[in-house]
Amino acid sequence: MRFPLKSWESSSHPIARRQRLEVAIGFVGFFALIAFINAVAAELRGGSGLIEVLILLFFLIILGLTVRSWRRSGP
Amino acid sequence: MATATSAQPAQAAAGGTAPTKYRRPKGQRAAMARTYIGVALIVIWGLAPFYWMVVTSFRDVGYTFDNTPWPTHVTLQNYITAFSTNLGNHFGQALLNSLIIGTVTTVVGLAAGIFAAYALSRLHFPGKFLVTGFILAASMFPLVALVTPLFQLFTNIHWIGTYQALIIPDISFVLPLTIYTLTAFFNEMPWELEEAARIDGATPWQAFRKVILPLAAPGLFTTAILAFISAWNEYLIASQLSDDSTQPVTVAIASFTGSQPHQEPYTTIMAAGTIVTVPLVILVLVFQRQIVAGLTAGGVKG
Repeated sequence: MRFPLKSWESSSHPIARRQRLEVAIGFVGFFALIAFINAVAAELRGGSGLIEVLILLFFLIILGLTVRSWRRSGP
Repeated sequence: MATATSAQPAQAAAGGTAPTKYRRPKGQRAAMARTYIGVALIVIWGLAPFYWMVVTSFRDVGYTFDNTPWPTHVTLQNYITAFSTNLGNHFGQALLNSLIIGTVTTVVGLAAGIFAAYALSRLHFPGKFLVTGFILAASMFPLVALVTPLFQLFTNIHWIGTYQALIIPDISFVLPLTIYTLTAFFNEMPWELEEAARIDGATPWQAFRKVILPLAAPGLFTTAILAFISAWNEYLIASQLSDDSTQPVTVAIASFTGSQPHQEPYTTIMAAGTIVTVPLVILVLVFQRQIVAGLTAGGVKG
């Protein structure tokens, strides 16, 4: 095993935190993208699409909060 | 005898005592016993269904529901029936289909996964961790949600019942697995090896091909096994997108028909299940050390 660990490899280090937030953005972004495609498809079909849009809104809010945290954790 | 009697005083004179067998403290022995009992229970819990499948597969049809825990009324007829095409079953063809689907999925998934994993592990580019999160999310996407859209899509382009209709979704399912496992492997490799190759005049591609890839061979092998098992066991997509000529073993077994209408051919199904499972069990038992190493690589830093 390689010791000592580099400082940013520690889980509490700001760079490690920033990397984790970036992973979280990718994770939530994927589902936000799927929800977006689903909402657009629902709208184009001519249905109400309310539930789809609410789901999209939910994911966009989480994505927005994650992006804000990521920006604030910047170097 | 003379030697034994003369040795004892010599040992006593040297101040030594006869070696006594080491006995663990009572509490430690109890803890070990608990561990072994726990392990035994887990092994029984895990192997019991497989054991019952093998035992039933060798039983005569008339004794399908016999509760005797060891083989009774042993016959090989179930294995013969499993491969027989008289009742409209295509188990042999299904085995070949599974082999084709599993092999192509593994090869293509691994080929794509190697480059993605190398990029995620070794290269620095903006949004690197974003891609990791994206892949993680894609791997967690519920499979059942894809069945209907894929069915519609492949119906429109006349792909239902073709190999590509089964292979392409399978590749997308094994890709996250291959990328994660290989990224962990590449992370474990020392940077210095690649740097040394670069200093010696190798291009990035040559360093990758001639230094990194050979060193990652155990990881590639482990990933290939895991990807193959994943493709081999896939049922949900295959049950909707295949037909008689392309269905894999998982679907073929589920649609087995017996000699009597309204009668499930359980013993034949168990025989087919054993034929499908045994190669995987052997593969995993032989390479279990590499598989565990592959799964735990990157679990600790360093």
